[in-house]
Amino acid sequence: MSLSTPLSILSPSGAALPGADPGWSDDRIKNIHRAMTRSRVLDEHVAKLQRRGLVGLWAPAHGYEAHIYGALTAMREEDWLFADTRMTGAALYRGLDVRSWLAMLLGSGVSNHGGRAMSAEMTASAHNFVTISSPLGTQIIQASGTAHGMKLRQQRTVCLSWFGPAAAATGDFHVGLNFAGLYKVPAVFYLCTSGDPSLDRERFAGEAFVDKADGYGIRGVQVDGSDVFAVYAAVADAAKRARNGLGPTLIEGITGGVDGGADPVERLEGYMTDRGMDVDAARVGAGRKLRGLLQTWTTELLGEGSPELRSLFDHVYDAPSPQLVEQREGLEAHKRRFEHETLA
Amino acid sequence: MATMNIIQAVNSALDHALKADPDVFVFGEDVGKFGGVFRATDGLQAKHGEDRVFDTPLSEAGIIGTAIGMAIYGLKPVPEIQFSDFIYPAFDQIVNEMAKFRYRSGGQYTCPVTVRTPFGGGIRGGHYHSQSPEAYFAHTAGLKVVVPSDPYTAKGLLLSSIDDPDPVIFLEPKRVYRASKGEVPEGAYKLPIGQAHVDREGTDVTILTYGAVLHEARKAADLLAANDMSAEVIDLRTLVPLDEATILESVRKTGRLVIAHEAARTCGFGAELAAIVAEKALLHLEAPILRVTGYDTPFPYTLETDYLPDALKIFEACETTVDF
Repeated sequence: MSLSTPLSILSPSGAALPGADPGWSDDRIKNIHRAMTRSRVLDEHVAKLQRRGLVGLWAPAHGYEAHIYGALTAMREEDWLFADTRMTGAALYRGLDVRSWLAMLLGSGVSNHGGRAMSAEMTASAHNFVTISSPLGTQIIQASGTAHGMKLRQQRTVCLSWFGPAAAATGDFHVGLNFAGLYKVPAVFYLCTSGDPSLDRERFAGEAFVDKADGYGIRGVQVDGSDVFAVYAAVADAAKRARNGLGPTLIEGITGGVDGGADPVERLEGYMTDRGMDVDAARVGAGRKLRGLLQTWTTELLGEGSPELRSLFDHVYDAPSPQLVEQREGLEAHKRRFEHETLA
Repeated sequence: MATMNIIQAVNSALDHALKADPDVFVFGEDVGKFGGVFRATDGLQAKHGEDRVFDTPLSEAGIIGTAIGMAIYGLKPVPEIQFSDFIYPAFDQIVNEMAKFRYRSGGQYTCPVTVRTPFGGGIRGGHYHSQSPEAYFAHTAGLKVVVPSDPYTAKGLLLSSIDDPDPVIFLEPKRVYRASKGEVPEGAYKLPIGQAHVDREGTDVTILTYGAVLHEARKAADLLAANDMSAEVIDLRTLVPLDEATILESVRKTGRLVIAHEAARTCGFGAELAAIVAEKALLHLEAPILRVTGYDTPFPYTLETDYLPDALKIFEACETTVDF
């Protein structure tokens, strides 16, 4: 049931397709452009930190900006987000402050998880941004479960889960979509496919990933994944349906397949230029403040030093077991004793 | 008070939990309409509705993943895994997600999930209806592992588990689901998690056990008494967090320890118990610590009775420690 052409609103260069203008105000367009540009600033900053050995594994969001921010703007604040490691920028967009984001990135003791999780495994529950987990696809069935809870509680909220084509091969993808369809939960499943046919062929023998939706009895939609307006339209529509009890949707956002690797930011800027907006000014304005904050907070956080030793033992349970207390005290005593020793 | 078997006790606990707390949900394969293959959830869907008690596809990862999603949302799911032998498709969700949500989020998200699952052999079920997988979960930080032995402990520990803010793996000894009967309060009550129980006092040897094997340990203690040996029998009730104090107090008194469980010998929970006692009560021991366990084989079908630790094997081990 794949569409012959995925939904697009912009042409490859960015001009709106005939009859398809998104009808956004200049301010709204500038906002989304700012979000997507800031995403690149984040990636640049992390790359610098990686070169200094301060950040380990990291999956940049470059090329995924339309997927992330086009989808995000279509969701409401009270909707829950189940992302993968590429999408930590979404937490910032939702309102997480830069210092907290950086603290988690750096594994700082002052972060909300005390440095217990790895860089991209961020949490921002105040913004309904569920902890990112490294095992691929695990969030898919969890999103279905939370959506099931929302339905039981008769809330008009929705769960959005993003993942890539590798996660679409996991058991949790199967189980998540199966349960979501069966219980008709208010969820939107957004699959970012790479758009690289040779890569996708290694993962899936079918024509298009979106065809899997049929297998679960749920609605499937393909969208031009580097066209931020098309992504917005598809997600907004799917979210509305979910909110109104019409069940889940699998959206396949294709990046590159439509136009051999179109840059989502460049395409948006093509549209902005076409519209007579000052793209250069927008670019400069978007990144400047964020760069400053990233620099300042990085320096400050690095000055904080290592997390407190005891934090290693926190939050295993609601209250630590006697065994954990004993182990913690043992390590603390060991450190005190060998405080000044190093193995030469 | 009423006389109940374990199934009735579990059913009663779930009924109370569903009534008392609108956030409690019970689900799994065949638990809704059918009332559970062991009848543990019999009548609950009719009483509490299809939203509260519902059936799922045959999909353990889906059952547990759904439970996690509901739990982080603020609900209290009580999913059932029909036989503990089938829990493994959910292992990633249990170990990598459920057990770590609190730790990795600094407590922003928690998983107050109680996973109920029948475990253990003795029902002619072979490899896939008889396993005792508790060691895998005891080894996973962030999980609690609770094992009742009879109706009274089943109801009280299940109600405590459901109220516990942490994820609990609740293993029900299915061999004695019906055979074990006893007096159980009809109302709601809780037994503390993390507290072992001295089932019988004694002076010559401590027998540590849990689940269905408690009943064999009691018979072994009778046999020992008839042979002028006095055994103290301890029902662990909770494996994690473990009640070391009760165990150590007993061993300091008796000086001898025999551990009994159905699970296979190598890296079974008994190994952990032996290590703790050896570390903390070495000078009180009069004999090596012995373990009476299942063998390091998959659970057999026909020779099941030979596989299982029974009263005679426990008796023999105790006698060995006394004669050492």
